[in-house]
Amino acid sequence: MAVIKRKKKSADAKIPTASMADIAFLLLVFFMVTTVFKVDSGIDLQLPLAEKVEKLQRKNLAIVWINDQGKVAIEDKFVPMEFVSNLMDQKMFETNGELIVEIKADKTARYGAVDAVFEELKASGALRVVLGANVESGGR
Amino acid sequence: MLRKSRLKVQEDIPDSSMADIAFLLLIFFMVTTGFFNDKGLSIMLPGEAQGSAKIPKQNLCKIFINSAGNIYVDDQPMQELTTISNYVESRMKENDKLVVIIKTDVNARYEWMLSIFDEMKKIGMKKISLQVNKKR
Repeated sequence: MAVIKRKKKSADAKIPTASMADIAFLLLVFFMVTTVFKVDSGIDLQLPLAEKVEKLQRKNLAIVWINDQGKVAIEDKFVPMEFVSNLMDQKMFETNGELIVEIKADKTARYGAVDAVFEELKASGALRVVLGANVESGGR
Repeated sequence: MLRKSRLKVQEDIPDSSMADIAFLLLIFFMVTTGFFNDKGLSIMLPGEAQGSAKIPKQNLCKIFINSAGNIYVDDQPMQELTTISNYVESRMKENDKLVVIIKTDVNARYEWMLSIFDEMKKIGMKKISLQVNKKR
């Protein structure tokens, strides 16, 4: 009996957990560094599809959301169309004129709404515009 | 006696829960992290001061999208995006000063205009003018 017990004890292996905390902290630091808390969670919409898209930089970016009814939202607040140029004037000032505006419009939105936003942007001098789109899944 | 008391004083910092704490924070950051990967088609709007320069008619290619989604290229109805891009590409080869005008009805879907715009980008057309048809 005693012999058998001894054998079992020697075979008892442990998973080394000493480095577990190190691994966890490594991942933690990675996520802390890459985290950018979302300020603009946006409104519910479906972006149109396109193929020739470019990646956007977060720097100096303002996003104008247009939903399927043609309503405009900036930074999670719906704003009347006439106020867009005021807000963009302010953003242009904040970014020292290097503002890039991304228009995220629903694919079923009327083109008239998008054009009205273009006019507002022209009025405030924010001429660098990106039309937000999703990548076509088939055409790549 | 002395040795014994010394041994008693020696204590460890409890680190068995360290991994748990780290994982808790890790999960928090993983959940709150939103990677930014917006993509889009960039355009440059014309400035207000810029006067509208007259472009000779032979350098123009008009694409009209009406409210029903019908597309007319140089007044000919075309439905397939590939035929449109082939047509514009052939005109582009003939004339390197070609300017494409995309005229969209206010009630047309944004999606239609964007798909045409995407086609123009694909064939390398840089000179695109966006216009809108406000007439009913």
